[in-house]
Amino acid sequence: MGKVKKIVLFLAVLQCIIILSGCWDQKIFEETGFILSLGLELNEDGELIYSATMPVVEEEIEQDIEVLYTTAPLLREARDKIRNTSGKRVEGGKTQQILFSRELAEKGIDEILDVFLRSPENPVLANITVVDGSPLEMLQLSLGYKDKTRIGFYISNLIEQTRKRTSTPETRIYDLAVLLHCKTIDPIATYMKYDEQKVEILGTALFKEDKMVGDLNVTDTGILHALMGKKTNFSYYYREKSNDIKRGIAFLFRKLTGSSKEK
Amino acid sequence: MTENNTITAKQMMRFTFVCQTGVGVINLPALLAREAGHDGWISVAVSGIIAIFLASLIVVLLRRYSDKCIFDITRLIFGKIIGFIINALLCIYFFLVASSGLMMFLNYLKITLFPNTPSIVMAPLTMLPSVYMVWQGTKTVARFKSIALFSYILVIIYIILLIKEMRFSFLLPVGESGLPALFSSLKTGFFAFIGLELIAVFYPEIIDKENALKYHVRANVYTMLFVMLVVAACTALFGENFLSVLNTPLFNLSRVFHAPIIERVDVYMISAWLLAVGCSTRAYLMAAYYSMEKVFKLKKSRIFYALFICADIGLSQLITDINKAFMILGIIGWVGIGVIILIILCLVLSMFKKNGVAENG
Repeated sequence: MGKVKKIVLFLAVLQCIIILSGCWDQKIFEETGFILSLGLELNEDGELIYSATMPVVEEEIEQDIEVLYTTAPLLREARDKIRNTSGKRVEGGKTQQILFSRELAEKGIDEILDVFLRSPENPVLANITVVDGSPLEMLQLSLGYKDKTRIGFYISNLIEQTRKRTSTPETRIYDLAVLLHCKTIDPIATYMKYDEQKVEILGTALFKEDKMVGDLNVTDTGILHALMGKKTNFSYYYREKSNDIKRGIAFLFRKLTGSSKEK
Repeated sequence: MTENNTITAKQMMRFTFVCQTGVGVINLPALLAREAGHDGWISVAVSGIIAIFLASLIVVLLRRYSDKCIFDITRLIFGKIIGFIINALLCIYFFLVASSGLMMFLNYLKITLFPNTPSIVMAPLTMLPSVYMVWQGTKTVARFKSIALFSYILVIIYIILLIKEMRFSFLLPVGESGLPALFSSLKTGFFAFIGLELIAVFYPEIIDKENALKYHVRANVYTMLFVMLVVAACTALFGENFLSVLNTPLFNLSRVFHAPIIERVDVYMISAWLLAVGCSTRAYLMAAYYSMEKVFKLKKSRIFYALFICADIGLSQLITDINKAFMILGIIGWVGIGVIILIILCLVLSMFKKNGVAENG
């Protein structure tokens, strides 16, 4: 085979490799809407309210985040309905956290997460979070957080920082799925509340199987980590009744070890 | 023996190792979790020991016939007609394994990276390296296996990074599934070692035959250790119950590591592993083409080769449902066990029918 023929053949093959495989599965950045936070709650009729935030990158739009919501019985259906209003191809591949309302969490969340586990397009590393209140209301209020970053990243950073101080547990979608299936360890998740100015981590949401049954404050979450034999780094405050300005003692627990015996 | 096909025993070891582990290990942890619960790794260890024993027996048989491959041996033992029929069936087996390997490759691409691209477009593109290498001969195919080792190193490093995420209590108590469950899962565990029979095809091409046994045993030991590591890691991470409902645990494993900058590690891990899948599939494609040349005494022809590749791609398009593809993979596993038994049978028969046995054999 001649040298020219070889080069032509090589270039033809290279062209096929580069172009053909991208024809059907191309996703253009400008045309894609990345969900950063996903909120799930129930309305008065017991239907699922699906809310999502997506970053806005167009210069002419003042708002840097877009909040979309709809009502549908299925997650996929809700996503498709949102696609009908957003003007973008909505994708969940960058979802940072899934926010469940406490009311929904108490009814059970197992079946809702199924789609995240089956579809490789969805991340299994999104944080599972229970919100004391309405996730949709929280996302809408977050538009007024002028001194905070985009809500998805703000909550992610908040969870990460509080997790380092063992004030809240690390529970991602796959953690929850593993624990729900193993039948021997009940899951836990991040528990938070919100107001007009901020989001606040409250501690831990406790589950029995897939239903939320209670919660722990941040100090008790530290003790829970210690009991589970995990890394601890939390403060415990002893209060004293006196007229001094400094009342009480702060204990910082970094490493706790223990053993128990059954009789 | 031709210059393009000669390989060393060490290259044959890599050839066997990559061929055994590339495709099967992706869903094996789930299959074992369904059958042996959290004791899947024990099943792999036991079937690995059996595989090492059988692999050694195959090399012992090949040594008895000096520089003959399985196609020559079957003719000597069973006669020309029956020998030819057996050899033709072996050719069909290698060809079907190559096609089903490509089918799995395309299915994995569809469910992971390219859900919308038609398989018929992906198939020729994924086949391009194989088309070149198989045409060049066993030497090129075997040499390229060293590149695939990069994927294995990556997976091992990745599993090490995941250790802190694992719950080793999921592996306890050891042996809880009981002997009957473990025993019945051995066949599934053994599927990971299908590919050990390929040495019977390429044996005459091995230059340093004195090292063949040593390296063939090593190939199976490495396969056993690697598969055990993946099965144990998947079980410790997902737990037996969740693991048993997953379709592609190795790829699911790649989705759970939280990397600060590279957010979707799975895209890179899956891409890297597809290199190993490609190499694994290519091993059987090479075996199929090489054996067809030998059995049907074909001369190297571009027309025949083009038809061969088209037939391989065509067969791979027949099944596009991943669950049916897994079913085919299971059937192939059983046929593979049958082929290994046939080769061992040849060894037994060679004890009685010494026609063609080397003087020192």
